[in-house]
Amino acid sequence: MSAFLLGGCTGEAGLQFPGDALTGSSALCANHSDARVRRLTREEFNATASASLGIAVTEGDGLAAEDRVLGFTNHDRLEVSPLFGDQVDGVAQTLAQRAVASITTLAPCAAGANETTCATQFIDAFAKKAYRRPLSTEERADLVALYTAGRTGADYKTGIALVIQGVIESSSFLYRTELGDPANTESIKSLTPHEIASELAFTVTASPPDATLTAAAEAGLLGDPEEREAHARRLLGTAGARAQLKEFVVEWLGLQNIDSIQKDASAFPEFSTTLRDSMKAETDTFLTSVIASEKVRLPELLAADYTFADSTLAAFYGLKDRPGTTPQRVKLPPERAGLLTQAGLLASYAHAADSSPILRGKLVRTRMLCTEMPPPPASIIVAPPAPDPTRTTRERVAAHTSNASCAGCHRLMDPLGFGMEDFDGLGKHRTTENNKTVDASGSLEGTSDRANEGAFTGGGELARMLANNTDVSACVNLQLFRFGMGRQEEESDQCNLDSSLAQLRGKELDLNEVMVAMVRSTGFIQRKVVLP
Amino acid sequence: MSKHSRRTLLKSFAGAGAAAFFGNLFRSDPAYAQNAAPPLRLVTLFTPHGLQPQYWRPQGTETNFNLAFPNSTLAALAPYKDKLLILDGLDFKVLYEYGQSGHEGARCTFLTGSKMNTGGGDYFPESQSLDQYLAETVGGATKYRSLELLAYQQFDGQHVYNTLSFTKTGTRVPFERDPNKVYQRLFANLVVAGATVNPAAEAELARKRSLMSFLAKDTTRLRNRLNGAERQKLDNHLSVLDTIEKRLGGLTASAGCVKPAAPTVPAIGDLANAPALLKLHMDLIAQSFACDLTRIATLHINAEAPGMPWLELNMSIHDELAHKVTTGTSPAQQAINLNMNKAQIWYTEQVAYFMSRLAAIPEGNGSVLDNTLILWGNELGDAAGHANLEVPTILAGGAAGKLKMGRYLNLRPTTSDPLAGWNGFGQKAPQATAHNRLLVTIAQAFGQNIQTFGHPDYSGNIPGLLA
Repeated sequence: MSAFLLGGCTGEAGLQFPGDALTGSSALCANHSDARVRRLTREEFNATASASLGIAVTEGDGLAAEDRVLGFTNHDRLEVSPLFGDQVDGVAQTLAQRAVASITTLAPCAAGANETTCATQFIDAFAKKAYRRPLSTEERADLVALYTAGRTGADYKTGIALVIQGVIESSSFLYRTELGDPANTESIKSLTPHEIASELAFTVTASPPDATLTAAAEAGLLGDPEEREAHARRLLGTAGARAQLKEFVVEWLGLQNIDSIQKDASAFPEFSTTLRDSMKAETDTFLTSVIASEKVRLPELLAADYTFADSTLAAFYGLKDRPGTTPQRVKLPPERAGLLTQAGLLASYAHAADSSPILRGKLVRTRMLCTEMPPPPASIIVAPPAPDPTRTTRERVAAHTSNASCAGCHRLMDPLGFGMEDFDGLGKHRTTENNKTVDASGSLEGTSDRANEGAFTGGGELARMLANNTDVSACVNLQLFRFGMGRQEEESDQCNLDSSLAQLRGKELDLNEVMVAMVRSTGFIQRKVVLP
Repeated sequence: MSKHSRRTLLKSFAGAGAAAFFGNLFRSDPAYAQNAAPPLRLVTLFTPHGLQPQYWRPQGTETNFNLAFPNSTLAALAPYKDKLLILDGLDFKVLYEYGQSGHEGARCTFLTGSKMNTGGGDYFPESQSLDQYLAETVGGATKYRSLELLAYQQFDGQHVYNTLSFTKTGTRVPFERDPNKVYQRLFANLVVAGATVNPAAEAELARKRSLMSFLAKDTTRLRNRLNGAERQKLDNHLSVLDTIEKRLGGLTASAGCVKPAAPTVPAIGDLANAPALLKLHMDLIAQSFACDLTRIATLHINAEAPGMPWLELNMSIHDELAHKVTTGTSPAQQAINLNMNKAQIWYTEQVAYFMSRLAAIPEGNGSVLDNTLILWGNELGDAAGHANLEVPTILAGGAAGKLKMGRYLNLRPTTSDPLAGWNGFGQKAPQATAHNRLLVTIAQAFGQNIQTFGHPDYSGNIPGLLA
């Protein structure tokens, strides 16, 4: 239930802007969402298995890929499907074999010691890390029984391997719980200290809690938002957090699609997989660089006056520099700024043989301004305009979408996309198309920030305008919420969204601040019990 | 571990719900005994865009129809006429009567009979797909309840344009697109009947059984703490564990089971390899049927963007062909129509290839094809628009005698104008036949006593299909 749904794009009165979030009613702010469990993503699986076993685990990469909900892969609808279950079974067995190759360090057992005692000690230590919480008595007994079943007729190593396999395939490994203490009979419960630690660590770093965070949890400190903030800030400096924030940006703007760009060779003879690789390297290096900074500022992502290019891309961009085979920092000409005008993004949001003002306009309107666009009405035949060597793309599309039944929604997208027509379908800058002058005039309309909207010309100007528009910061705040919480927002989240937005805007639009605010909020640590 | 001690373990933790999942926990028999009637299988195939009426519609009558006329899209299926049940005039009513349409809608509804939920800007159905339903109800008889395969991936991963199969909670069921991984999953550890089981393998099997008991208890413990949709997630998980447990012991009595050699798989991301990859998937389905490893398979044939170079169609099929087909007669329009038909003929040829593979596997008094029902569906009816009226649907195979094959049926007998009597999107189309009824028919062919599938607005089977 989004606050930003348009009813058929019928007019300004019907529009609600992300900026409206600031005036949301706090009476609806319930500070809790439903209790749930979240299956680990492949990345979280790798990180947790690595941390628990003390070996570098990448086997999770081969598990069935996540699907996307609202553009993000770490949502709470992930399940153990038959395919995933089979794959995890195989991976768990492989990891067990890898781990017990170092049995003497993994699960030491002195000569003459009681093997079951050694196994029990291993079980306690290993399962605690793997499950992100201590074992119950019953769980310990079951795991010791499993060890015994493996040991019988075989050896200590086989028993330990079976335990490892069981733990990795366990529901306590594969799911993160947000349920609270079973003994607590209230209808709105605080998460357990271990659940809070897990949620904090996985949200910020996509990996399990480290020893410091676990210790704080066990000392009962994580109920305090100050304490949670301190840990969040500590973790935000780690490589895992950097990777997590990078993954957010990639998924938010659909940048994974750069990998699969295909172009019509006759329309774009310059296209090659080498060029595509260079485009991918640009976006990748740029993101890594910005996100490595202490503050990950939104205006830098959206409107930086530099990028990272190798020689292939530099030539493509018409730059004088030839940086070599690895991307180096280069200054951008004024027609380009930040992510929005990087060739990979522009070429992804385009067709095989030409540009697409509609795809680009929709990207900006939906992902950067958080305006939901309904699908085209069923009665309309949606076919792209016929190619015409005497007209520009803008002319063809405008004739197509300006009719009354289309314009209501298209006026929210087309003026944005038209304003990016100074870039062709390959992301190359152009001033002519089909021997006619390109008209890249556009307008940003329908935001609540009148000071930062209006007429612009070209993708670079649009990028700079968006970097300053407050609806964009409100939208990114919302997108980070969806990514961090793994679900769509509800009305009861309004107050938390307001707080994190205020913090984002108060701190130079540093995306890290949204994560901190999210972790501080009461809604982060409270869940409502779902009744049968 | 003896059966006795397993039962004891079960009693200590199984609740009423959990017991249902362990019904097959003690099975180590072959999937079906040699003297029983061969089982019915369902293979779902799905192609984009739809077919062109002037080329795809058979000529002739219900029982005497011709597929061999010039430019006939279905010509390659002519040798199998007695094993075809061609349905003309089937609509995705649940979409257009609720004001929905399109590519996304078709993939959400084709196997679910559900309308789309587009909240949050994404596209999900609201209920389970037929293949998953059958996997749940009849799939337990085999080691793999079902297979979900994708020949070639558009965009990335589990995406609305790639997924046809959905769970009860409407989430996407992941598919496998690498034939090598499919082979590894199905065949790498397969032990064929007659192979001697050595003590080491016996010990390994015992350990594995202990593991599955442990996991069943562990997962049930978490499941019992949950309610609603969260509990359903864990119920689905328990079903997965049950299926893995049943597979232990690996013996199969299928006479036709020969463990195939591992396939040589070309690069799966390369569009030029799509035809070869598709054939490999089809071969694997056929081999899995021969060994009765599964009876439900869904194969999404999605190989068409940004072109089909093996047919010398080097343009976006979607942009340059599908959405431009009309009944116009200009030479330029004819060229577009014939190029589109080229792609559609190729799809038919793939279906014919698959049928030939199934026909080559002896079973009972005939072949695996005799006991298979192929459901070949399409995305759209009229590819130019996004409406899902008159979506060409072809059933093929012997269907184990459950359906009366060898016929061409027009499910809109009273008029040839699909729009007659219909007031547009969001309005009912009383004379049209909802595809939900085909899903019900197929479920009934599998012995399921249901009258609706997906949206409750549409009930009953399609009269005259079942034998």
